[in-house]
This record gives sequence, structure tokens and C-alpha cells, in this order.
Amino acid sequence: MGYYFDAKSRYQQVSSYRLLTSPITVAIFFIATALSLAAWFVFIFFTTSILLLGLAALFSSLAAGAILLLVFGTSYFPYLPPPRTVDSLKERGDKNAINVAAAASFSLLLIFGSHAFTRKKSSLERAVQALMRSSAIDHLLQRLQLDRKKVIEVIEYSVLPNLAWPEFARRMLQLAASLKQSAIAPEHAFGALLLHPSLRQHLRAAALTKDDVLFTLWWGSERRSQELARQRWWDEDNLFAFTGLGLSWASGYTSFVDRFTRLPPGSIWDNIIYGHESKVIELINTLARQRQSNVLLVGDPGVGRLGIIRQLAWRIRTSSAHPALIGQRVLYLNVGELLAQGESSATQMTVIFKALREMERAGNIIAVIDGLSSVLGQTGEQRIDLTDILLPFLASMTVRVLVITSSDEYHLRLKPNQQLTHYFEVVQVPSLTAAATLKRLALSVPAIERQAGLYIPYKTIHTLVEDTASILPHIPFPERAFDFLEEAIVAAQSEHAPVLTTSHIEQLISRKIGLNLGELKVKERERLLDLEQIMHRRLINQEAAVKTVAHAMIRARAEVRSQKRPIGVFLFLGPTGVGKTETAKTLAEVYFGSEEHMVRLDMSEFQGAEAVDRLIGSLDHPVGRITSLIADHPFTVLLLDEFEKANQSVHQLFLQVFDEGHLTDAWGRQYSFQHTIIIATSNAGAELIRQASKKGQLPDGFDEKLKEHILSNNILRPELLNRFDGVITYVTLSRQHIRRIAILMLRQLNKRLDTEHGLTIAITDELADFLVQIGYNPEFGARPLARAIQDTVEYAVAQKIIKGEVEPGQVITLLPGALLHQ
Amino acid sequence: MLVDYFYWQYVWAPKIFLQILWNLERALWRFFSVKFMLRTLLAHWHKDAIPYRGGTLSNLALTFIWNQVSRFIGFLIRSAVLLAWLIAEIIFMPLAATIFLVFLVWPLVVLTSLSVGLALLSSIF
Repeated sequence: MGYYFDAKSRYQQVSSYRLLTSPITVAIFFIATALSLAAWFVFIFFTTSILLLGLAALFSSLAAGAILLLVFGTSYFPYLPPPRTVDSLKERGDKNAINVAAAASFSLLLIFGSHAFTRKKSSLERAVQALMRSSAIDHLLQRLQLDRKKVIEVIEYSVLPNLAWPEFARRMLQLAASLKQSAIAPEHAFGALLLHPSLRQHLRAAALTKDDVLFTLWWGSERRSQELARQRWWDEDNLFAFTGLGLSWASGYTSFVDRFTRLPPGSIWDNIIYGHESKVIELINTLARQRQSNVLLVGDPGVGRLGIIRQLAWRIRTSSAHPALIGQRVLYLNVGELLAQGESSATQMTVIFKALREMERAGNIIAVIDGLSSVLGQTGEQRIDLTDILLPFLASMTVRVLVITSSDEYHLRLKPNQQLTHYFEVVQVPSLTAAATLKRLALSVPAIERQAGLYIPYKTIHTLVEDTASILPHIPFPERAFDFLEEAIVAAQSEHAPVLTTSHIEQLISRKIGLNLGELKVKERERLLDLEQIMHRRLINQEAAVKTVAHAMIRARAEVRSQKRPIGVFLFLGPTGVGKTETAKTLAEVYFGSEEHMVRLDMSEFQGAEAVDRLIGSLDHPVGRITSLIADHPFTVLLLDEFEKANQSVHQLFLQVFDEGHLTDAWGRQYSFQHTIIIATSNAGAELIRQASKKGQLPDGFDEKLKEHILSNNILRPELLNRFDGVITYVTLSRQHIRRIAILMLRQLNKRLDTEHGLTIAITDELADFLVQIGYNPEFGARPLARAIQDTVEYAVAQKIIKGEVEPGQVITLLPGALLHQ
Repeated sequence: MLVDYFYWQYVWAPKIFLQILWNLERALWRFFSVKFMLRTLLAHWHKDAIPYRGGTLSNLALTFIWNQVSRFIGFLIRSAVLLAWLIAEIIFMPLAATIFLVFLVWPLVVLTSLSVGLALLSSIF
């Protein structure tokens, strides 16, 4: 199917518009108006000549005619719909070439002008140049932080030589269709140029992807449609946005309850409910029912529950919710304040009863109660049980109750009370996805910018959502993103910065998580390339293991696959004390800057049937071990010790983590493992390894043999084993290796002593040999050595320090004989 | 362009004008809650009514009188609102009709004024 762009049939509209709204018409209007006023003034007040009357009539007609033509031009042509919609053009299955100009918006035709109806290359160049100079693409350029001059330059050199009208027309149409637009706007034409394959390298250089451009185009379309909607003041949405007079005059007074009703003030972004529109409709439909019109709004604080309530209240106030809700009042009841009116349980009950009676009598109240479970009883001595008082009111048809509750409260306290929940319709408000949060942020940005006096480009909000997606999972989206945004704005304002940049966001997140996020991203490549070298400094005789880990890390990061997966997932096999934990620590230090970024989980503790519940939380185990670990340490090396000993269901759970990079707990909260390196260790096949590595090296093909051993003994299932980026075998250590490790450990001890006391130990051959003599055990690797250093060397130095026998700067020489008899 | 102009002057713009007029009319209706006022014209003011609890005839009569007073207050206030709506309508409707008519005859006014002006000037020269 061919495409072309020929706007000849619509050019008459463009030329008419240009003529009617030209400066000449405007000048005629102003001059004629001024002259006619002057002529009328002189005619009325000074002289009544026919000449003046004739001139006054002539100029008046010219002014009236000019204004009529101006109004005609501006209110008609730009609003004429294109002859075809984007969809209708896309759906055409005929063999004839498609004229894409039929779906072009008037603004695009106005920019292209006469260049849009010749199919010459030169006309395309001029049309593109006109587009690049127009203000219609300002939004896109500014939000993407692209320099117009550079973009023009790049498009002229890279795109235009490879572009023809048919391809340009097809790309514009496809882009508008993918954004579900009915007409092709100038932004779509610019987007088609930006997304041209010839610009791919330039886009990448500007750290932009196709998704970024598409998102900004969507953002621009939304902004344009919102502006248009605002301009149409006569539309129902704008014209009816008021509260009708006297809608509550036929309802009772609520003078007592009114003292305790105050909806907490909202933020700018509360007005944008993107992602929760269906929840508002669900609420309205339930509240409008004759029976069972009470709602339990279940969602964690921060998902936007109050925003939904505000939207509901606004729609009811403006009578745009539902005819059955006209005249209703949404009262946000502050239960705590209400209860404070009574000193004892009995008086508190009386107060609550009085409030409920008043609302029932009023007949037009939708009572919003935040955290009903705090007064429902069942647990806690201070709480009063209001179930019996509430039930008759919930059954009443004259009062509607909307309870806001968190998922925890709902599952733990409300759901078991079936007598109560029977009267409610449950509306779940889940946390927004990262994509929905980004869209809500984008839609809130203009208002935030106005308030903050800052410009917020696309990359800033994108970084904000992307970087906060995997941290602080206990704060749901969108609150998590908005919290960070607010704080970053304050930081930028204190620096008097005109633009909120990604570095403001990265600095803030780095401060919160104790890790330099920007540096982590930038230096990731360097660290990966040096990983093998750095690991060799700390690990002795594990050449193969080090090489495999380093290569697997590079492979895992370079592979084109889901960015949501963990950074790397490894299985370390080998006997105890050979360096598995040391490797994990090294990875934590190299990758995240400190050994403290390693967390350990002993998987042998998770053998029972309730293991998964204990790991991710359940009603009986509110705090999940792994979920809380990841919530507190999102950037970490997660060491799963003795992985094979965990329950099969735990292995299944980790299949999802290894594959998709996230876990969902019992309350629907998502925990991301995107920034973790997961290392599972196992002693499985340790004897096999010990036997095979007697010569210090593993024989060729041993890894396959070991895998077979693991699978045949059903230690790990094949699907799990295949999910690891690398299965690394650690060989046993010889006396020579232990000697080198002893020297490494003594050097580390020296560093500590030097920092704390200014002392160093002389690392002599005698001392090293002595340590090997007492610390070598082939079964336990380097572990007994660490204990030997602790018991002999560290103890001897500590004694000398306490006795005052050593001074700062001194080199201590320890004699093996003395160490043995101390 | 001439066809477009006539289409705009006598089809497009009047249609939008009438749409705006209709929306404004409905906005007035909703602002003064006319339907609601009529439906509750004789209802108690803010449900301010005393329940009949029996007792002496004078008590019943007193309750009845007080309840009628509440209804009367409600009637007065709602009638005032309805009257305000009527006044707004009396002002708005003719004004809208005049504007609409002026818009329709505007081209004619332009042409007439032009021809009168030219005629007067030509009578001099």
C-alpha cells in the first residue's frame, strides 16, 4: 500500500484563513474603527455635513465587515475537521495509494503551507524546515531538552537526504495512529522525523529512546486537548462547574457533625486522578444505589484515596456524578476528634450515636470515615466496639457510609467481621504502576511548575519514577514519586535553579538510600570491566570462579533482556571456607561501594510449609523476611546461604524473582529486585568437589558432572538451575593457598590497626607459616585460619596495647613461639 | 470561500450560538436548582419539623402550626430563588435573541451602511 501527502484540495482553507486573519484585515479593522468613531464624533458634536455622515457610514461598514471576516476566519477554518480520521485511513485496505493529508490537522497544513501539495523533494525540505521553525513543536523540544538549532542541523544532514514524501507521510500516519489520535498534528510530524532510523544514534547520544519520544508526544497531545477543553467555556464541563443553590435546604441540619468534619487539604496532584478514573465511577455507582450503598475504600495510604474522595465530592457538589446523588453532602468525619468528646467508653458511644442520628436525620449525608477499624474493637483495650451501633445506620437508606481503610486493616480487622462487611461494597485502590505514575506526574507538572516556579523536563520525571520504582516499596505509587518530587523541588529552589534536573533527583535518592545512584549508573561499565582484576586481589585460587562471575556479570548486563531482572543471579557451589561469602562481599564493595551492601539470609531456616509466608509475609507473619530486607536494602548483594535446604515452594518463589525481578506480598505490594545481585550458595556436591580438586584444579567437564549430580539427587529442579546467570564451582584450598590468604588477612588487620592505633604487624614468613600450621584444615577451608589469627595475633596485639608496651608508629614483630604459649 | 462564508454565517455559527445559548439556559436552570425548588417548594425548611406525639388538642394544633410555619419559611425562600431565576431569564432571553438576530443581519447592516455611505459621498462629488 502506497502513501502520499497532497493537501491541494485543502489549501484553499489555508489561504482563506491566511487572508482573513492577515495583518491587513486587522489594520483595516482598527483604522476603520478609529476613523468611523472620529467621523461620528465630529458629525454629532460639531457639524452635520453629509460628507461626514457618508464617511462615518463608510468607515463603520468597513470596520463591521473587517471584524466579521476576522471572526469568520479564526472561528471557522481551524475548527473544520479533516475529511478523514487517522483510523479510517489506517483501516483502508484498498490497493490505491493513501493521501495522508486527508487526516492532517489544520495547524499542520498551515505550517506546511503551499509546500504540501507538490511531491517534489525540494517541497519536502521546505515543509520540514517550516515545521522545525514553528512554535508548535516547542513543547516537545523543551520537555526533551533538545536544542532547536542542533536538531535542525541533524535532521537536515541525517534525515532529509534519506527521506521522501511517501515515507514521511506513512511515518506521520503511523505515529498518530499509535498515539490514538484522530488527526495528524505538527508534533506527530516532528515525532516522525525524530524517530527516523537515521536519527537513532543521535537520539541515543542524547540519552533518549523511542519510548521517551512517544511519551512526550502523548504528553503534548494531552496538554493540547486540556487547553482546548479549557478554552471551550461554553461546554457543559466548564459551564456547569458550580454548586446549585439550595440543594441542601430540604435536608436536615448537621450542626453537631459539622464540627468534626474537615477534609484534609489536598496537594496540586490530588486534582489529577489519572489511573483511578474507574475507581471514582465505581464509587459513584455504588453510592447511587438504593440499597447497600456503603463503600469500603481499601488501599494503602499514598495510593490516592483522598484524591478519589475529593473528586467524588467535587462531582457531587457540581451535580455531575449521578442524578441520585444530587443534593448529597460528602462529610469527612474525623472520628478521633469525635471520640475525644467523650471521656469514657459510654460517653464516646453516646457521642457517636448522636452524630450518626444527626446524619441519618439529615438524609443527604455521605459520611466518609477514615480508619473505622480503630473504633471497631476486637483488639486493644482502649477501643470501643461500635459494631452494634453502626449496623442499623449501615442498613439505613438515608445515610451512606464510605470507609477508607488500608489493606492491612481490611484483611486483619474488617474482613473477619462479616456481620459488618455484609453492608459494604468493597472498592480496591491498588498502588499505581510506574507507567501510570509517570503519566499522572506528567499531567500534574504544569500546575507544579506554576507553584514551584521551576521548569521540569521529561527526563527529570522519568528518572524520578524509574529510580524510585525499586526503593521504599512500603510507600505506594504515586505518593512515593510525589514525595521525592516535593523534596527535590525544595532542594532546587534553595539552589535558585531554574530547572529541576535529574541530578537533583539522583542526589536526593542517593541521600535516602546511602548510595550514589548517579555514580552507580555512570561507573557501572568501568566496574564491570575491572571486576575480575579486583576480585583476584581478594580471592585466592578461585581463578575459574572469579572469571565465571565476572564474565557472567558482563553477560547479564549486556544481554538485551528485561531491565527489571536482578543485576545478576548466581549459584556458588563448594565446600565451606573457600571464598563464596568473600566473593559476595567483594561484589558488594565493587558494585555498591561497601561490604555493608550485602545482606544474608540463611535459607535453612525456611524448610517448613509456612516458609513462603515467613519470607513474604502473611496474616500470621505481618513482616516478611525477604520483603523487609529488600524494602530496607534495595541496592544490595542478597546472599542466600544454603539455598538447597529451603522448601520447594521457596524455590518456586525465587523462580519468579530470578525471571521477573519482583515479588508481590500478601497485600499486593511489589518489591523490586532490579538493583540486587542475588547469590545462592550451596554445599551440595562439596565432597565431589573436594575429591576432584585435590590437585588444586577441577578437571575439564566437572561443572557438567556437578550439575548432573545436583539434578539427579533432586537438590535443585532443572528450571531453577537454568535461571542462574552462572553456576560457579569453588575448589578446595591447599596449604599454599591458605598461606596467601593468611598474608591477605594480616594486611587487612594491619590496615585496621594503623587506622585505629597507628600500629602495624611485621608480616614475616615465620608468622605466616605458624598461622598455616595452626589454621589449616582442608575440610573447612580458610575459616579456621580467621579464628587462628583472632586467637593468636589479634590477642597478642591487644595485650600489648592494654599494657602500654607499644606506641603509635611502631612495627610489632610477633614470634610464633611466644604466640603459642601466650 | 464565499460558500464557506455563507455556510459559517447561516449554518455553522448559528448552530454553535444556539448550542451556547442552550447550555447557558441549562446552567441557569441548574444554578437556581429550579427542578429541585419546584419539587421541594412546600417541604419543611431544613426538615425543621416537630413530630406529632399525641397529647392535648392544643399541643397537636401547636405542632401543626409550627410545622406549617417551617413549610412557609421554606416556600418563601424557594419562591425567592425561583423569582430570581425568572428575572434572570427575562433579562437573558431577549438579550440572547437580540444578539442572535444582530449576528444574522450583520452582513446586511455592513452592506447597507456601505451603500448608504457611498450614496451620500457620491451625492456630494
